[in-house]
Amino acid sequence: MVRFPLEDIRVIDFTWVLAGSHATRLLADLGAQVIKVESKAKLDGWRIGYGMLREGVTSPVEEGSGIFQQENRNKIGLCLNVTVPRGREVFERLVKISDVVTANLSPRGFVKMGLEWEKLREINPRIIVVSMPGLGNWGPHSGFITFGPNLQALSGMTGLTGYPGQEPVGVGTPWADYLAGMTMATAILAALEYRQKSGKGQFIDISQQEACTSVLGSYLLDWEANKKMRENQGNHHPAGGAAPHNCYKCKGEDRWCVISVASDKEWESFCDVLGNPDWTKDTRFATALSRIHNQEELDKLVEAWTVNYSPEEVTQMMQRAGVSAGIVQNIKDIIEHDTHLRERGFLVDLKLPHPERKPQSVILPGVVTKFAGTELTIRHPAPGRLGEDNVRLLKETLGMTEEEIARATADGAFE
Amino acid sequence: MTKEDTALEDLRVIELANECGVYCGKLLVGMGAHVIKVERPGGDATRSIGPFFQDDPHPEKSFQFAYHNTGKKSITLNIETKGGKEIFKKLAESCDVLVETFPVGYMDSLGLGYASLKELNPKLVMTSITPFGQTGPNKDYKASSESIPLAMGGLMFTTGEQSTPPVQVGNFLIGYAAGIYAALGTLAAIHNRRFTGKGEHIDISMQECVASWLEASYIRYQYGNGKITTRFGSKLLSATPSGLYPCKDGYFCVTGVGRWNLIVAWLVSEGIEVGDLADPKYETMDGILLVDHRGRVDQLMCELGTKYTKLELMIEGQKRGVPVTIMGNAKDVYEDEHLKARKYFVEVKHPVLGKLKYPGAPYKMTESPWRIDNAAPLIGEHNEEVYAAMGFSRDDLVTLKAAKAI
Repeated sequence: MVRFPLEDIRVIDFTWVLAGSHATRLLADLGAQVIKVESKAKLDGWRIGYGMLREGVTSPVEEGSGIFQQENRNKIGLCLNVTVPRGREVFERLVKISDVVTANLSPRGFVKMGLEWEKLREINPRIIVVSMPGLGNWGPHSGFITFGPNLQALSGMTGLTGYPGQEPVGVGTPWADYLAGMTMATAILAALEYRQKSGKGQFIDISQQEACTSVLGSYLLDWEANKKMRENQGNHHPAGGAAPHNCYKCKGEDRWCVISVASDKEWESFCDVLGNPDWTKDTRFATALSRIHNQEELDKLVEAWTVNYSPEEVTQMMQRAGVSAGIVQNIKDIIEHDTHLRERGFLVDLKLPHPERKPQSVILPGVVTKFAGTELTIRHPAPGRLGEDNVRLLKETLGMTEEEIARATADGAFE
Repeated sequence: MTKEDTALEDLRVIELANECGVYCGKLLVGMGAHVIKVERPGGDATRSIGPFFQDDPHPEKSFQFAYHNTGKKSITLNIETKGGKEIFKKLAESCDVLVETFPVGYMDSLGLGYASLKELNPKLVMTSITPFGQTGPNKDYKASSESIPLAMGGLMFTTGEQSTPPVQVGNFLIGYAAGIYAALGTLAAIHNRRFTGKGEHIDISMQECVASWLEASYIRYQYGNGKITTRFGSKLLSATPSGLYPCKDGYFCVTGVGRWNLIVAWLVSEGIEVGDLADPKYETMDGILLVDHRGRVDQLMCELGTKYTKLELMIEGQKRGVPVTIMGNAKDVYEDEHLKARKYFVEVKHPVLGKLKYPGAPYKMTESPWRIDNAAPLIGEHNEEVYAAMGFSRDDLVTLKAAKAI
């Protein structure tokens, strides 16, 4: 029988929106049993996410938005209010038999929910508790409210993206959320390794700001040592390692390709593809260095050629000749035309429950951490309905009797 | 702190990784793993990536190398020579993890692919990072630049303004993404190995790293009748005010999701005329009515920006519960009071670069701390130590050097 890498790990998951939910989604994709805890008072805001509900869904409590579905796939859903006594009781029973408790609430919200490691370790000394507010759990700015774009700007990456001398443009996805989530999942696995040999759980304090700033090391050291401030590079090579190196207009509306020529050998092949027009023999483009110095003019000449072809054609011709090139794919290209992603099993066509709601299935990005020996994929959709797995969890996992469940219900534990 | 306190003290890692995989090794070494970086004789190619100390393009002065290789050990080895191959096999036999970023099939062509190494060490976890992965029709696509998988993964198309060409993301972001996914997969495989007794080959595609970060685009296209997400500058399609606005000394970033009432109060207190936009009907969580007035909202934020610096705006905005941050540069990051208070920066002493403050731990653990106590190694700094531990004498090293193996 196939063993999923983390199938022995149980996570009690208080994360919400994107960064935290992404972290526990990665663990769930790797096989962990992730119990997503929500309550009526503390619904995941992403149930509404961009208003993208399926046709036929009348309330986000019935089924979360598409984004919610995506970030909570492979998880199971528990509706539990841990702030009422009998809800807390259920939570503590769960802590006894779990490995990890996760949250990306504000530091205040985290304490209000009573998730502190100091408390939970009394119940289970092996428990690993992770809290990932935007700016960490302590420090002068720890109460700051931030979203992905805020952290991207704060870390310095936003200032490096765009065209030189023009207004900054931001990045076309909230990458900070994803990066922080991935970092959190990695930290949890390290803590599990530590527990393996020490028998001890621990508390992990993650500041999304720090997780993001850590991917700007060499740029920061340039300032620290040289007092040099790098400006954004547009589409040229960030370390001056290749020219031509740009995004070029192609035939069609809003169609683009990228080309990167890193060596003299690649330059020769590149010129061959273009049919060696006279300008390619110009002394301004004779060496790698001169091509970098004259790349603005070079870019114009390259684009005068690429506009005659589709990005698919340019990519084919260049790749056949051993030159780095690619299509600037939009989402339609990825979903409908990228046979490579499909053949690798990266794109997953997930059938959704309730066939009366439209669409009935959705194509989603699969698992990036691809194991050659174990197929990791989307095993089941997200727990759409609030508290979808309550009965199963309370009876089977916790062994609660009907009577205990009824008492807790009367106390408002499952609202 | 004793060394035993680190999380991955027992993990032995061999790394042959370029800029797209080097962050994986950095994460592992930070958690205590023993990472041996195998460099080609003369030094790893990433040593030629800038920026450089005092702008001197010397292989011991690359910040790209210095930052990403803290705590690792360096040996030189030419795995294309017969002697080098044998040494490499010995290394692979006794390690837990091999991280590599060679083109698909290169290791196989040397007889050092996963299938061969698995025979020598069935518990080996081999983690391969490539632009397009180990399988599929585009696996041999050439990508000498990160911009190729970035474009093919879909993130370039959505970055920039609609009126200008798509633009790449600064500072090798996708290499970092690949490095973190690689570390995640590696640790999951190490965990799994305890139950199965077997290693694993992990196949990270940089294109997939990017393509998994665009979930809203997937949903918008499929729930929204084929709507293609395009470039929208720094703004959010679904919220206003959002993104970057100019201020006295640069830019500040606002994410105005569900907080219009707080923003209105702030604007009014500054004497900025809000007009009918102060109507409570605009205060919905999804901001659905407000986005129709995006232009006017943006103007109001620009007006606010003319009065203050980015830092003043962040402090005042946060005090009022509005998610505002500065758009920082390297200087701002080093001067960040919060990072300072949290002791994020760590001083590292390097024989050539001297003492510098490096960005520190990406997370803080109470029991098994992050380690950044050693600077990046010099080229082949640990040849003698590592090769001696493998049983080679000094004479052997001379012979191997003459044969260009090390």
